[in-house]
Amino acid sequence: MLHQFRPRLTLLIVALVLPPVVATTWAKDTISDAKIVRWVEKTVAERQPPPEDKRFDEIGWAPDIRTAIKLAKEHNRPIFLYTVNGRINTGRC
Amino acid sequence: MRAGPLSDRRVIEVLNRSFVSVYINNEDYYSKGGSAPPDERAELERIHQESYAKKLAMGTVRGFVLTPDGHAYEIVTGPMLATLERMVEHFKPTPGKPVVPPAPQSTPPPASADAVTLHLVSRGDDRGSWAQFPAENWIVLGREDWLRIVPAGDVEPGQTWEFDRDVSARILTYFYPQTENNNATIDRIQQHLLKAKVLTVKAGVVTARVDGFLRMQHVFYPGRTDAEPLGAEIVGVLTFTADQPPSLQLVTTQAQHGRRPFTVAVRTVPRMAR
Repeated sequence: MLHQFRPRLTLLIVALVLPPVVATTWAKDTISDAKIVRWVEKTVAERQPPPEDKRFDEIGWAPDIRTAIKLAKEHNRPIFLYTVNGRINTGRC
Repeated sequence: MRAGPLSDRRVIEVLNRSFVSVYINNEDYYSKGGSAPPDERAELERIHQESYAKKLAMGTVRGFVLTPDGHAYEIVTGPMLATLERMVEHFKPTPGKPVVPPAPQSTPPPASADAVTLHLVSRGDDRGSWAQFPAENWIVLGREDWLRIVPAGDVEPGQTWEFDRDVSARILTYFYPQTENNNATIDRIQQHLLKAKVLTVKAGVVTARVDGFLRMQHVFYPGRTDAEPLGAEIVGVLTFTADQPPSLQLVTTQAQHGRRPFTVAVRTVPRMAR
C-alpha cells in the first residue's frame, strides 16, 4: 500500500527537518472524500496481524509462575518459563 | 524468540504436549510499581537463586526449564527444539493436550460499557529481528474522553472540527514502529493534529473523514538519549450518532522513524467483542 504514496515520501522527509508549519500541510487531500471510507476500512483490514504472526498464541500459556508450578505438579510435566523485558504478547518488547 | 522458536510448530507442539509454559515480563516483577504480587516475585527470585547455585547461564531474558515441582533445572542456550526434546527424554512426562488452552495473548483491557476501546497495530516496513511480527497497543477512551473528539449538537456535511489535543495525543503517542524502548509518554510529541470533516449524515449516523499528522521524537533503545525524529501522515474515518460511543479508524499514509518507514492501523473494537 505504501508505494501508492511514494511521491509523498520526499515531503515527509522534508517536513521532518523543516520548521513545524510545513508539517501541518502533510495530510491534506491524500485520498478523496468519495474513496476515504472504503480505503480506510480496507487498509485497516490489510494491516491486521496474519495468523503466522500469531503462532505465539497457539501455545497454552499459564497466567503466572505459581499457577504453572501448581499445574506442573498436577500433570507431572516440566515447566518452560520465559522471562522477557517488555510485553512479548503485544510485540512491545 | 517469539518470531523464532516460539513460532516454530515443532516447538509449539512439544511445549503443548509435554510442558507447562509460562512467560513473564521482568518489569512486572522487578520495578517498584510492577503488577506482580509479592509471592510471585518471591517465586521468580527463588528460581534465580537456584539457577545461580547451579551455575546456569543466567540473564534477564532467558528460557528456563524447571522440574515438575518448580525447581530450576536448565536454561535454554542452544537450539530450543533439541533442548526441549532432551528434557522430555529426561522427565518422561505423559504426553497430552495443553494443560492451559491456547488463547489470544493480546487482549483488550477491562473497560466500562460506554468506553471506546481502540486496537493499534504498528509495523516497520522492513524485516529482521525488529519487524518479524507487529506491535500492538490497546487504548481505552472513557466517555469523558470520546465526548472530546465528537462535536456537540447537530452537525451538517462539510462541518469541520479538531479533536481535543490531549485525547488525540493519547492515541498518537503509540504511533511508532517496533522498538526496544516502549516508554510512550506524550511529552515525546512535538506537534500533532487530528481534524475531522463531516461527509454524510444519514438517519442520524454521522460519517466524517479524519486527517492529521504527528511529529515526535522517539528513542529506539531504553535509557538512551539519541531520539530520532518520527513523522506520520494520518487519515481515518469517525462514525457516530448522538450521545453514543463513536467508532474511529485511523491509518498512516506515510510514516517514518529515523530512516525506517512504518505503518499503523487503529480500529475500534466492537463492544460485543470485548
